[in-house]
Amino acid sequence: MKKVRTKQVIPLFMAGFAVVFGWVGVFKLGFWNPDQGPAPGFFPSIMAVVMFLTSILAFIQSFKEDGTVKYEKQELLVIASGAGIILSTFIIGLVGSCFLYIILWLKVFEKASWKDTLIILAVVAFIVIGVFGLWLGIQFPLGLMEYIL
Amino acid sequence: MQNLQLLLHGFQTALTFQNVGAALIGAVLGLIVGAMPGIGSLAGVALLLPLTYKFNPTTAIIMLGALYYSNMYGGSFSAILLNIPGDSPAIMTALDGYPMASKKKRPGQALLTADLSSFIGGSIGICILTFTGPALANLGLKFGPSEMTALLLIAMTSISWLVGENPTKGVVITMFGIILASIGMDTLSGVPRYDFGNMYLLGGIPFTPYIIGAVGFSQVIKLIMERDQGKGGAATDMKLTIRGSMITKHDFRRLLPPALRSGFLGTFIGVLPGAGATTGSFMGYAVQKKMKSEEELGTGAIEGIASCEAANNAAAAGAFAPLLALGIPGSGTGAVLLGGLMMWGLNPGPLLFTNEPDFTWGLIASLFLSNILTLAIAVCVIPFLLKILSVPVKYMIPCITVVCVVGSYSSSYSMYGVLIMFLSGIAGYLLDKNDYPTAPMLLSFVLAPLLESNMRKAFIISGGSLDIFFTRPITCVLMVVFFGVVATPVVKSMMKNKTAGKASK
Repeated sequence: MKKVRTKQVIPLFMAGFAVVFGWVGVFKLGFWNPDQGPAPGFFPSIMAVVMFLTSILAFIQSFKEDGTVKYEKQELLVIASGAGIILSTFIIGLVGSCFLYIILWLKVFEKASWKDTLIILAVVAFIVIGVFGLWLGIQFPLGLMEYIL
Repeated sequence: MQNLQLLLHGFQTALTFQNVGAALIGAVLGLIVGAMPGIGSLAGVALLLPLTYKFNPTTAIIMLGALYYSNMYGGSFSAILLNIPGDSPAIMTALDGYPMASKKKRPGQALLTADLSSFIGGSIGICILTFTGPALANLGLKFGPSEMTALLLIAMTSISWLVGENPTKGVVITMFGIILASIGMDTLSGVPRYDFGNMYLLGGIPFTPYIIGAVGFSQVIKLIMERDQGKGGAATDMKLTIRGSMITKHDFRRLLPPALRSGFLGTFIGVLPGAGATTGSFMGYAVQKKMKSEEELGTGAIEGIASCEAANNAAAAGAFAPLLALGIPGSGTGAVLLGGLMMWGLNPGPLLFTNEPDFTWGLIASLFLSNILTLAIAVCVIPFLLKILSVPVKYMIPCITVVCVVGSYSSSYSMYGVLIMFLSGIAGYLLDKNDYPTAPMLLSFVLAPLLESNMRKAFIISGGSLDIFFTRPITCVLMVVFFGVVATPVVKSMMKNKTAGKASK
């Protein structure tokens, strides 16, 4: 278990985010046009100012908060698997990536039996191919297969 | 009275074998489409539209109307069972529906509450549409940019009721949602905003993948720590039957007042241009937050589910008033339906009710029919839906992940959508871990574009003067309500301090 002080990092990130959006809003997009009234930067700039001020307040308050946030390795594994699906989509396509992910997750991580794995795979295949693919007509990316086919 | 006779005539049209069949198919498809994250009513209606080309206009609109309408029922299924809202109006349902299903172990009752509230809200909406449809549509037209701005300001202020224990964090996250919504093309001037030279950002952040990630994928990340708990957390010791899902008389008494209130409110919101079922659902919940509830909202309260579910179904019914009477669609789905009406050679507008009574009153009658059919189907499928919860958590995790990925791709037809889902999932997880509530971020993301465009239009009309918000009667009344909403907590706090000061003396 790692102890990360994200309670301070998040408000600082938000404040930085607000500064960028506020600056772009006022100086690049424009705040007020004398002829046409509010310019494209009008609304987001005001919101960015409020966000900046409250983020600084949240940053100060974060030092008074009790406890630190704990992140578990297993939680990061889910994030890694999501990233894995996205990356492998460019090689074996979206449907192939999803199926591969199901098999790997259930067999390697959950140590599930082949019977359970195949049942889950069949249910997912019904939803992905049957409902989304055939009925709703969604054409999923095929990755490198697209070039081969 | 005349409307009642016309409605009875409409029932004669709607109750033919062909039209009942069309309503039934529309209702079933709507439930499925609504429950599938990432699809929503817009895609459902658009997909079905070409298939209805060979039908006569009445049968076709009955099928599409039933699909649009039952979609509101379906959206709550995945929100309650998996904490993944099937569509945007179901965001509010997830707030109380999921805790009621998972923490209180009453998933069947949560689903039944949603179904009954949807039915009540929808029935109110259709009744109002029957008797005051054209008049209601004209009232909706009186809501120009300044009136909409004032109404949306009230709605945005109401978000503060959802911010949780730390108001500062709530405001930060609300502003974050608003700023994210401003990325992409400016709808009024066509100027690219905050795209940083990226062609994907030029199109803005797609809402559906964003919501699937922030609510659904972040939920999967958190769920991994519960994977040893066995079954889906909710259905371990409950009967997977309709009887086992029945609510008590006491539950029904809790459900009824918010459902009735939200039914009227939702219909009115549905009539307003651009407001839609999401705003209706949110307003219904926000009003309930001000009312007395037996349990605190957000902890699995029946009142919370009832208020938003009734409002979104009522809004769906209300949206038909401006569509039919004025030819003005209130939402994207309304625009597709309008396209359908034109495709079938009909001209929506004030004369539609007189020129095409069979069609118009047949449609309204079919909405009553769809409401009953959808309720019956939705109640009958509860035991099957509950079986989802008997699947062990360790098997649910990969399934939900795949549904999140496929759903976000389907709504955007691009891997950019999947990437947004992934990033918003991580953001939602980090924010939740650090006690930042995510609901205000999602709601401000939905409402901000509406508020901004109306506010800017109002300023353009007034030449930059604030007078427009205080000289028009409806706007003025709404602004008074807005200031009242803002001032109430401050005054209450001052009164409390004064009382505490006197007591200490």
